[in-house]
Amino acid sequence: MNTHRDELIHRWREGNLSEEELHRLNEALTTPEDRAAMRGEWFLEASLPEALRTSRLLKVAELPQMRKGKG
Amino acid sequence: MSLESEAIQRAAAEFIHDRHRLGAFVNGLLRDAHVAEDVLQEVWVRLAAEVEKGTRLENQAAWCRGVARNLVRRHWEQQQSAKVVANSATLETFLDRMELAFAEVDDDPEDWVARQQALDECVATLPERSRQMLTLRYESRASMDEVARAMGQTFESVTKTLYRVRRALLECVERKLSRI
Repeated sequence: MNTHRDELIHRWREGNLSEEELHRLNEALTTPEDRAAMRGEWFLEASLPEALRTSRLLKVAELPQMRKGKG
Repeated sequence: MSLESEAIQRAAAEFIHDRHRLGAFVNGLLRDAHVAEDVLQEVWVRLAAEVEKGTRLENQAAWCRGVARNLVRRHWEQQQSAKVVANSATLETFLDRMELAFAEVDDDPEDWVARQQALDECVATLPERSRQMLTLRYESRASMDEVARAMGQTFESVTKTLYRVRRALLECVERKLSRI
């Protein structure tokens, strides 16, 4: 885990990055591993709403089966 | 079916398949889901027009990212209050880095689908309170202050919890993918 990089990624996400910090973020994204970390963050940001909706559907789908199990 | 409409259908199928990944690229740059959706729609309109003209795209995903990047830049230029300097060399380097980051998974489009499925499972295992917090922040688009008030916690506590939950989810996704 690279806390310096992760902090800059977090600050980009929150919209609080100065140009100097953006420069430092660029320097922190020079390896494929670092870029994968950034990609992972953006994946999470974009995919969480759908995953939250899916998790609610899964819960609803589980209920009838739980009731059946009890009966 | 004409060759032209076959080409459009192929392009549409690939666009739909790659939509989540392209969406993450655009949303990550813009940090605004509504504007990101508009950009995605515009990319599709331009892609369809290009295919209709008979252009053969070697790498459709890369082409779409390039168009999206230009649209994002134009959006920034139009925003009077943009926090980023739209025409700075630093920002161009950042755009290069992020285009590269997504190009690095172009040869594995299924990875994104597997990732989404893994995330669905990971979110389902979270404690109810963590899910509530995520729902407020990422579905209802509440500010951190609003999340803190709704959860009866301090701003700092919510910031730390969300950071910790996001890390846990990313690690959970990686663990699940490593087992495939």
